[in-house]
Amino acid sequence: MISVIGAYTTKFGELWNVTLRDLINEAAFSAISDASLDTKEIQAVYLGNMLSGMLSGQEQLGPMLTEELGVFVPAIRTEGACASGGLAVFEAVNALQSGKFETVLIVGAEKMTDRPQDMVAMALMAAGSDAERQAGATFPGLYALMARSHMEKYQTTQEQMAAVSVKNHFHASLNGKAQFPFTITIDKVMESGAIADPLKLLDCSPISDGASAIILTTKSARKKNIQIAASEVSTDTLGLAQRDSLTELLATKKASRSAYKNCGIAPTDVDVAELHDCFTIAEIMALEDLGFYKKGEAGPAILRGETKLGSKGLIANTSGGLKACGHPVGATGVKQIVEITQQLRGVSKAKQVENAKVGLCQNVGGTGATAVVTILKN
Amino acid sequence: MSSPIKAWREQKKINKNLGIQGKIISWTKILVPPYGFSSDAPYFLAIIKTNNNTLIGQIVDTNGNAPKTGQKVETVYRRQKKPDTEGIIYYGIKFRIL
Repeated sequence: MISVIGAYTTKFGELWNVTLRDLINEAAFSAISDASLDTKEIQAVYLGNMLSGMLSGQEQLGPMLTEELGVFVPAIRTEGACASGGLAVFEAVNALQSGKFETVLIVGAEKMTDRPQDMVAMALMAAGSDAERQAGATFPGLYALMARSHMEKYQTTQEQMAAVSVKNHFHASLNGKAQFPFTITIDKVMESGAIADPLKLLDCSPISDGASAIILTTKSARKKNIQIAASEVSTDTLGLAQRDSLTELLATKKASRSAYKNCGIAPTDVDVAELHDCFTIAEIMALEDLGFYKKGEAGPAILRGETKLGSKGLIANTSGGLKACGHPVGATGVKQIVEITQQLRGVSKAKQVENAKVGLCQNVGGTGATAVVTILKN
Repeated sequence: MSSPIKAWREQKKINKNLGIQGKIISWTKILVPPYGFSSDAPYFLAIIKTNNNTLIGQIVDTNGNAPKTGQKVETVYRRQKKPDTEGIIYYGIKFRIL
């Protein structure tokens, strides 16, 4: 049994006064403190990050973390674009299941706001294919291609997509760590400037700095016992054009089916989920691909107010999601686990989902070339 | 990242994609481009299904008119992004509506 005994996330946002190292340090030591551990009890560290080489000129982040800890244990950095953090969790879970280690630290971190927007957009396109880069594609552009297909196939509307953003901003307004802790309206989303038609500025997650960390152990848990029930990864073609369908992420479907099967949990058992809403259409597709809604039914459901705190059934993205909590890409997959852990501990205060027992995290790299699905239970 | 060697290598692949027709599967209008594409923006980006392949590329010569899903297109040879500091001019495939 693998338990989450420590969990912490830094403030997400434009954090101009801190470095990548500062963020990693704060997240790591705060998670260790939350777990009431001594650093000497950490047997290995896993660090999810995508862009440190391109944006900070720093690779080999593993020893940066062990240097900060003062404990020179094995250190592995994982990269899977925006799923880098989720992959770090997956690797750590595998190592614990193998019996190699008993207690490990996982950190996800990204420092993005030191560079101009077009440089960051270019760096993020490292997650795409050569053909996409040569064509001048951006990630908003690639998700816009999926959004248009979804709209044409299922009559999904721009208002339904806007409702995802409105819901997640409402949740972020209850989260002091969120980059955008304020509410917005559907009109405000609809009036925001076009980035890649049909996606507008307020359909898009921001460029963010931040770090998150968790401690996993196979030793008997000292805190309220939050377990990792399953962690699965699937991959798909790197380029979007090579997919059979533009209206689903096959990697999400496959990873989630394996995860559900491995732990005997069904979509109807899930109380709270952190979904990879890098763009509003992505949350609509995620709700469908994960089995919470049939294809074409998630958009109307969100517009009706479903998946929002206080509604019946599944609640999605209580952190504010990538859209409103922020999206430091390497941190996101770990932040999702932190959010669900806090929900299952029952310590989420104003954004607490009542009686939450089972949670799910979906973390996506690129346009769905990598998907990590992690299920936690109380 | 740009490289003269990479540009030279990519040129060899262009011939096989010339003279190809296909139809638009989905499209978008990019208003916020990545580094190197600001002089082209705004531009239309589409996924094109051909007889034996699926490609991604820009739709050009539209006079600003939005394309439609299902429209037929053909490949054309065009300059891509602005020359980098080494002076390499990149060429590649874009699409024109038939």
